[in-house]
Amino acid sequence: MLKNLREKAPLSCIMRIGNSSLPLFKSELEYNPPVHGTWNIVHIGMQIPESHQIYVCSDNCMRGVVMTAAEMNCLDRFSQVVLKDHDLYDGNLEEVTINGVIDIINRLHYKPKAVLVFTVCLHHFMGSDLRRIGDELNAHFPDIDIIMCLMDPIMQKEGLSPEAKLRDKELQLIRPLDVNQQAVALLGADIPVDESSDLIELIKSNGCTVTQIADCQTYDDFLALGQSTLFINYYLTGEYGVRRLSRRLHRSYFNLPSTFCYDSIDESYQQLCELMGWQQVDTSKLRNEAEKALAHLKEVIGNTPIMIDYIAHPQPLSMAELLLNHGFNVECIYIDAVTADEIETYQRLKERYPDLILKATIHVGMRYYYQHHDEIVIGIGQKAAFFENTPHFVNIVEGGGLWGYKGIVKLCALIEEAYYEEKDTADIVVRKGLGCESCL
Amino acid sequence: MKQANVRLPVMTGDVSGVCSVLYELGGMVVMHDPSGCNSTYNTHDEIRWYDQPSLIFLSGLKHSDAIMGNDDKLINDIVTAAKMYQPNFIAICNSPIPYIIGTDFEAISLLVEQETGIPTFYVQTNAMHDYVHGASAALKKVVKMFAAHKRQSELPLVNIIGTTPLDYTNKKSIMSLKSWLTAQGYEVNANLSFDTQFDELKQLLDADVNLVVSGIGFETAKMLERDYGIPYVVGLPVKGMEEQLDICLKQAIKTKESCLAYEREDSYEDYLFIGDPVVMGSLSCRVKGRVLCPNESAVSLLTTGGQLIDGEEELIEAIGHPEVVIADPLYNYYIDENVRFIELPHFALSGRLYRKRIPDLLTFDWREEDES
Repeated sequence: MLKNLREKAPLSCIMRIGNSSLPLFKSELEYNPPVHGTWNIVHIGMQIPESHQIYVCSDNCMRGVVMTAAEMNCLDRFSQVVLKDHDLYDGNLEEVTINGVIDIINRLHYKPKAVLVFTVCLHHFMGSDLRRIGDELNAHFPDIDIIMCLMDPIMQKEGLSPEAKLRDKELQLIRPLDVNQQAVALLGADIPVDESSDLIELIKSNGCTVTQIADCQTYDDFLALGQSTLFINYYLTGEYGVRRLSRRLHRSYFNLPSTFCYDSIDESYQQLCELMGWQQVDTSKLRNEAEKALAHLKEVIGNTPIMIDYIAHPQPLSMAELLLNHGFNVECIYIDAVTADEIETYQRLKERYPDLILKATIHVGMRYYYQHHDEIVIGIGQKAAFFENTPHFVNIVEGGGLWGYKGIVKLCALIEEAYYEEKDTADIVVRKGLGCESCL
Repeated sequence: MKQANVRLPVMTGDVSGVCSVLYELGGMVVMHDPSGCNSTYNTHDEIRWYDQPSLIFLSGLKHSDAIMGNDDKLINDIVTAAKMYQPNFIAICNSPIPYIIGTDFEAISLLVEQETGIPTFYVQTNAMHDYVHGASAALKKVVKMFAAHKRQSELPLVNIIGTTPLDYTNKKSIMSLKSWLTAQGYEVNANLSFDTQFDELKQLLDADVNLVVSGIGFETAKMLERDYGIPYVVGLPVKGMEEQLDICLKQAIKTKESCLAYEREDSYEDYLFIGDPVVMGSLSCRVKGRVLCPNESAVSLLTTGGQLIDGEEELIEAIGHPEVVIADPLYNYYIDENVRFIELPHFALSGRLYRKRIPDLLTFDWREEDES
């Protein structure tokens, strides 16, 4: 029988931030916890309306992506070319890829506007000429936009992640249109920024419209992003693609990572207004609203322990700093690595709150780590909810659309809701792609 | 094109098959693969991951380590984890990139075993085959390594070979199978390997007969027959098959000769069954229906009229003109709307989609469903 080792984890995957150094955790065997709310490349690709995805890979590698499509009720927009052993020996991987994709497109019951063809690590290691594959496919289907994408996780630790590459590839479909000086595109992430956020209010108050990918109902809507005068990226893995898009189209670009630091928010607004020639915004009122929300939340939840994870928000350290600075009892952060834009925050937390605990999530030592609490513990994010075994959690991924001061107000409301209401953790966190349809 | 599936998902792959069949045996399984592809095993191919921990890990292979042949990292990482958890054994699986660069897994296994003192073996996978291939290879390895004699019984002892949640998702099927064997006067000696424990391996060789209940169990049963003289019977006591299976088991014990309990000489087009050859072979027995099997190495488990299908194109060609189809709901897309379709979800195909609708196979009566 399996030994019950729950609640135990080696010291190498749990540490005080005061004792930590970067990189936080040593690379070892990896555990994949049953928490799947973040979006993967299939979810991301499905955001392009009227598009079809074709993956060219082996059975076991195909399984995760095809079942992602199945669970989001999109099997009719997903096809597969399944590679066999002989495709590696015969030296015809490019032909198999081209012929397979052509065969699938010809057999589809509808005509997609765009096709995303995903090649994989095998193509890379076999030295396949991906440009030739793309050129031949585009020549074969001149009235379909075919874009060559990558599912190559073997590269993700030493360069751009597959998500970052896909966001870039998707945006390569956008062609330059006549500039609409009032059109602003807010891109880079999957979860749209709240319409009520102070960022969108700022843009709209200057007479501009805001389009996010989630707003695009048709492929033409998506292509219409090419008329934007300004491209704003607000998510870490979107930065590469959105920046390249703005360069290619010779449009303004602004990187606006979501943060919980007041000074950083103000600085972003100041720079954005300077770039666009807008009147500077007075944030004192917004800041007061955020302060009031934090004070109210503190009254409600008092010293209730809070655990934050990195899949809830791309800047978990910034979120922790805000809450700690306002007297909240943030006990730990589930985080595998510190991103470049959080290193300064990490250093501040290390100095001011050395007892804050950092826990890995994919470390081999976390396999049996599973907490039990008699009192309420609030998780912010699905991984925190899973490891802490708490039904009291804020169910957001990828920032949850929170931005600016109103994002802080909303975060407070979500924490309060989590404090009062229980969720079915086991049912929720195993579903893929929070916000997408789930057939489970 | 045979390799192009417009819509039909691939089935669970070989690496996931290894993990599934070894899950409850107290070992540690390491998939030598980057994070992100085969790690989805736990999402779509495993029902126990959330509630019943098992030591199944990824190596997190990265580009530079593959290019530079840095096997030391893999070895050191496995040794570190093994010292932490002290598993009963260590199994290492291959994946596409280590496969094409020719990683020497036999040598790696030897080095890990020398370093840890824990039995270590390599399961030949490359992520390009189906789950039966991987699970079958892993089961043979672990049986070869640990199977032993331990006990005696006055009752005839039966091993159940080939249970995993991939084919027997609803645990009630296992419970019903054990109950049926007990009711027929047998004693269940070991069950490999869903709802089991490692110690059952240590008495595996005491059995009088092996009951093979899926494609996964067949190669292991043949090995046990060849090496230890234990005969096997292939079949499942589903509705209408109970008596025939019981007769076959008794005959096998007496004569030491193996057989397919659902063997028959003819089949009829009217009834079409698609899925695991043993489950569907048994279910189809009453009406001599035709079986299509999506597993690549199941040809020996098919009877007259049965056919292997590889991919969507072969499936469409093989369907023919049945009146009734019993299969996973994902196959319904390919069946004419005038044909009576009876759903029997198969986890190895549709994963979590219809999991809650997977029945106890022994009480599932498709004829009642057909009449309803």
